[in-house]
This record gives sequence, structure tokens and C-alpha cells, in this order.
Amino acid sequence: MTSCERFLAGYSAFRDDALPWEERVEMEVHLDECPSCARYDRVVSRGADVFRELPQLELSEDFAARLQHRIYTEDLEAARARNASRSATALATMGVAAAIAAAAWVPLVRYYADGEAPRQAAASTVPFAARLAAWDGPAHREAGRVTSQLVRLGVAVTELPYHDLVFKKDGPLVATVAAYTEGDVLAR
Amino acid sequence: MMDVFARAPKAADPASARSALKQLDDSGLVAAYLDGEKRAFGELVERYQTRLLNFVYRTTGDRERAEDLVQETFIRVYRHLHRFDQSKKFSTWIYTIASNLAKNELRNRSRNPLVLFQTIKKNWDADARPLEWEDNTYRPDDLFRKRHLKSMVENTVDQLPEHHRTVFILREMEGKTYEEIADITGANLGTVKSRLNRARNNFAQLIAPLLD
Repeated sequence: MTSCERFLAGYSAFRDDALPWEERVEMEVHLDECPSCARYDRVVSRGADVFRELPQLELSEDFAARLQHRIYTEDLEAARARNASRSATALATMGVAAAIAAAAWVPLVRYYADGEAPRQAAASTVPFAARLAAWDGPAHREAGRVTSQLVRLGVAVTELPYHDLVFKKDGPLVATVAAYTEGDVLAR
Repeated sequence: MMDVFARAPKAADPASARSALKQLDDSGLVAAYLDGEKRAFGELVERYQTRLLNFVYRTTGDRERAEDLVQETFIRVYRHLHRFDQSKKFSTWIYTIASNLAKNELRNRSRNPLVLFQTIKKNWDADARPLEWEDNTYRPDDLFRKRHLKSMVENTVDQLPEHHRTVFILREMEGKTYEEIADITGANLGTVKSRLNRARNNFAQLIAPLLD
């Protein structure tokens, strides 16, 4: 590698004062002795000076107003996203609550109101809705209506196993559920 | 609405509060903003808007798009300031965002030649015309020569390949260190040095005939 090639290869570091002392001195000496590399240095320096002196662009007058508006929109969207997230959580909670309630109501209504209805087997292979449709008693009709209403509302209705053993006929929970099924849900 | 430019500061005297914000360095402003002083963001905008505009303009060559990209830069800063690592330099971070947006702009433009044509057409004013279109019978005076030289230097920088142009501008115009340029461009230190050397070499080749 000639001196000039070495100079050009290390020129950037030389110009940015990033060379070790000895190499820097070497470059300075070469610069003094070589007109071609001295010209190269002059061209880069002068060109860079001119580049730095180029007129600076100014922002348009409405720049701040536009930015302000975009920040406002940004805040608005963030607030909407927060609200949407809260609503989704609330809906999910309500859905889970409704599903749990549905799981409890249907077998209770059957047990409470239908004296002649057969006791449910713990795990039947026959679908619950089909078995309800086969019964004649008033209790199962009521239970059927409740089930239909719940299904229409989008609630998945499943039968509780051993409901007839868990809930007593005269217990307070049974009475409450019976009163509710006669009121709000059935009235819809 | 969050009025980051005009909201009253916490201090009793608005003028002294504004002046106090101006005294803060960038990291102080970031900390103040995150501490609830919303005007600090406005001060950051004041501090960087013109610098970024010129940086993005020199990189993309399109004034209007440059302004849009600077807006986008500030929006991204606003959106993510709470996640900014305060042990790092804010200026490097904001230049990185602006540089990436400029790079994407150039990439999109190269995929869409119509945009490039529109940009050329828009910037086609007297100062941007190539040398051979000048009136050869006119003997330019000093003022004209200076204007012409500036225009040619600007065009020369525009002609550099994008990755050379970016490091050249960051070093020569913005005065960034090699390390900062490496952070901003995402290249390693060796690559930055070699790109800068090649950029200066290209620049010298193109500009030499005009400066002799």
C-alpha cells in the first residue's frame, strides 16, 4: 500500500481526530509532502464547510398546530382503548356470572316445582334439552322455558350432576331461585 | 386535550417555569415530563424540530415529506417516552426514530417510482437545476458562484448512496460521534467508520471539479 492509499484509508479518522498520536503525525507529514492528498483534504474540508452553511429549512407555520392536533387524537384514542378494555372485562365477567347462574338454576327449578319428575341421573348421555322436551310436568315446562331464554341470551346451559342431592327442596337457595325464575328471566 | 405547548406550569410564574425548563438538559426534560410536567414535551419539540427537519430533509430530499416525518417522529416519542431508557441519550433516540422513518420513506419511494418523480418535480426550482442547464453566456459574479456552489454541494450529497449519505450528514452536519452514529443507524462501529470514509471519498470525487 502506497503512502497515498494509506492516507486515504485513514483519512476519516484523521479528519475526525480519532487517530493515535504517531499515526496522526505520519498523516500530517504526508499531507505536507503530497499535493494530491493535500488537495483531497482541501476539497473535503471546503465542501463540508459549504454543506454546513446551506440555509436551514424553517418549519411551516401550522407545524405546531398540526402536531398539537395529532397529540390530541393520540390521547383520545388511548382513552377509547382504555374504555373498550374496561367494557370487555365487564362483559366477560357478566358472561361468566350468567353461565354459573344458568348451571345452577335449571336443575333447581326442576327439583323444586316438579314432584312427579324423575330424579336426574348424575351423568346422562341423553342431551338435557331433549329430556326436558320429553317431560309433561309443569316443572319441566318451566325449566324448558328458562333454558330456552338462557340459550337465546347466549348462555351455555349444562346440567349440574347430583343437583338433587346437593340442594334441598325447602332450602333458602331453592326458594330464591324459584322466585327469580318466576320474575325477571321468565318475563323477558 | 393535553396541551403540551400551552398548559400552565406547576410553578406560580409561567415565565420563570418556562425559563426553568429551558435550563434543563434533555434527560432533565424527559424526567420532568414523566413527573407530570407536560410542558417539558413542548420544550423537547422546540429543541429538536428544526434540527430534525433539516436532517430528514437532507436525507430524503423532500421538504414536505420531511415535515410529515418529523411530526411522526414526535408522535412516536410522545407515545413511547415512558418506555425510554433514561440512561441513554435522548438525542440519539430521537435521531434513531427519525432516521428509521427517513430510511423507510426512501425504501417506499424506490418501490413507487411515481413518488420519486413527483418529488423531483416538486424540488425542480432554479437552484436545483444541473450545471449544464445554466446559461453559458452569463459570466457569474461571486454571489452567483456561491449560490451555485451551495446548490451543487447539496446535489452532490443527494447523489451519495443512502447509507453513505446518512452517516455523512450525521457527522458533518449534526456533529455526531461515531458511537452515536452507530446507535442511530444500527450499524457497528467499524461499518460506520468505513461508510464515512467512503462517503467522504465519493463526496470529494464529485465536488472536486467545482472547488478547483
